Amino acid sequence: MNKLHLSLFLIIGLFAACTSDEEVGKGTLDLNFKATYQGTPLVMFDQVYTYPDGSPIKFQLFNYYVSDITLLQEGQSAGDGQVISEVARIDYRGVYDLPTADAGINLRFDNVKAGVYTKIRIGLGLTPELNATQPGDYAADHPLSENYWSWARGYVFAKIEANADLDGDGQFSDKLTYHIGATDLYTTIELADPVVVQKDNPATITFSVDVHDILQNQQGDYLDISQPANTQDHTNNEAIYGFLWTNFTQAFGLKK
Amino acid sequence: MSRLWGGLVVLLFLLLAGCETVPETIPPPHPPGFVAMVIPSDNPLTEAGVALGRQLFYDPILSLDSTISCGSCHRPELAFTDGQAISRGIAGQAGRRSAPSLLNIGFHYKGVFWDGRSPNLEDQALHPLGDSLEMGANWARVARRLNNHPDYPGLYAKAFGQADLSKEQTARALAQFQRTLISANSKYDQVQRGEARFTPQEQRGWTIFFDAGYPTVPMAECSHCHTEPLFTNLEFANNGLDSSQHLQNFRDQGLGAVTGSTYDNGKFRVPTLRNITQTAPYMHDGRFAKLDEVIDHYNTGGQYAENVDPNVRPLHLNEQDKADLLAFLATLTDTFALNNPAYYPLQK
Repeated sequence: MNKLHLSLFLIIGLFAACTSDEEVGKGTLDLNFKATYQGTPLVMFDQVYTYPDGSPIKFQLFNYYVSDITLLQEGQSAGDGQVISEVARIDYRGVYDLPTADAGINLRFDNVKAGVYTKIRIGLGLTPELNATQPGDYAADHPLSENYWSWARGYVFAKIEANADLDGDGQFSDKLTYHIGATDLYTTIELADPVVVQKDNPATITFSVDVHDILQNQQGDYLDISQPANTQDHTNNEAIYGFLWTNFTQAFGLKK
Repeated sequence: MSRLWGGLVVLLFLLLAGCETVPETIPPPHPPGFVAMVIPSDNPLTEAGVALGRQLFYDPILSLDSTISCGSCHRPELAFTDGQAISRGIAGQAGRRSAPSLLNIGFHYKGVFWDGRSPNLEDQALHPLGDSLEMGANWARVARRLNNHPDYPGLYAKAFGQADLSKEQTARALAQFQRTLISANSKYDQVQRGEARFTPQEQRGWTIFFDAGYPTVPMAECSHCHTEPLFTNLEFANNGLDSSQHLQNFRDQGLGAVTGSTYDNGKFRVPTLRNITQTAPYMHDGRFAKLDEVIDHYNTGGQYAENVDPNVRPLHLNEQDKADLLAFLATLTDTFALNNPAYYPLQK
């Protein structure tokens, strides 16, 4: 009987030791993506915002891909870091109210190697490798199963869709649709934000982008949407897509 | 010795009793260039399950008065639609909406039905059975019929390893059959595979459809919602069919009635355009008899409502543009799927 007890004790001890070793090495990290418009949470349909020219505007869609999200420790270069996500689509399509908008889009990663990280590297758009794939390479519910332009052999990296009321008649009947995507637009940025990933204590990194700052650059320039040619683009007019994408990459950052 | 033999016999009996016949699974269809289906883990495809689903799909035993089956409103020669603006159920009762195509329905994972009220085909299959305007069946009555049927108890046992003729297993079998309904061999597909070439008119229509010819060829804005390879993004949209100054005023609220959000009122599932030449009349209520009318609708930019999709805007297509667009749409007709004997009732 004593031998039996001893054996059970040893087995339980062994299992406990294994579990402990595995779990101590992993932690949880939340990446939270907030979207705002002139500092207020961005809500689809429900809120009226002001376009830079003063026109009322309501949004219906704002989404973008991020890829190759990598955590870097002190002294590490991009290739040495820990990739925590190959690709994700940040989609505000279903954000219909302020509490949801305020909560942001959250991505949770449960098996991040524990440690102290000083930087995060994130790709805006899709890496050239991902952009060379096609929906047929994925399951129906994968982020890359849609938003694909076969004629351009690539994905739409970001979409902004809205209706404006240019003539002030109370009807939001002026359509704005901007669809941006091309391999050479892929942009990686490194952001310094010390974060400690550890067991049983989820850490959070919060990103933010203000859509007003996509529509209007730091010099105060914006697209004149009273001109029909400026109300849409499918990445075929560089004066539009280049302007918006550059602004997006500059507007995207850590939430301060 | 006799006790040993007796023990072995009992052991063998217990082993056999514990073993249900587990049907062998088959891989879901995955045509080249198509996304992979998302299938519930508890309902993998099996040959016996698909065969049972096929038999049930065409059997009026599932309706209250044994007059209509799923196949009454989803006819394979019409890409699993019925040619009616509004489908009719038992006793000729008018339903609420048009019967949508079921070809490639297995790829839908964002909700099925025009209003997205079912998350998957297993849930969807039971709605028409109980709907008083469709099949109107009381499940207890259907179950009695199935149990008394000479074939069904055996077919259920073969499909699911046990003769439990439940509502859930009926739905699973119907879902399995529907996941085999594939359209992936139209002229468009053959062009994608390098086996055929578009005519110049079809090619120009392709360019108009995909907005790929800016600035020399007009853009029809179709492919924002009707994305390849399914020719639907599986989303829900208000495509400007009805003018509404207030979002509460839609006669049919569509997705909004399911989600409870007024911003979803007037939104319906973006249908596939595959086999579109075979699925008239068009829209959730069949209001357009011909495809020309659909194109004319979009060409005007649609009616005003605050939640109309911004991609629905005046297109300025001329008659030649419209004819070219129609020529491209006709390349989405898949006669292989429309005539596939595996999609029709089993001939006994």
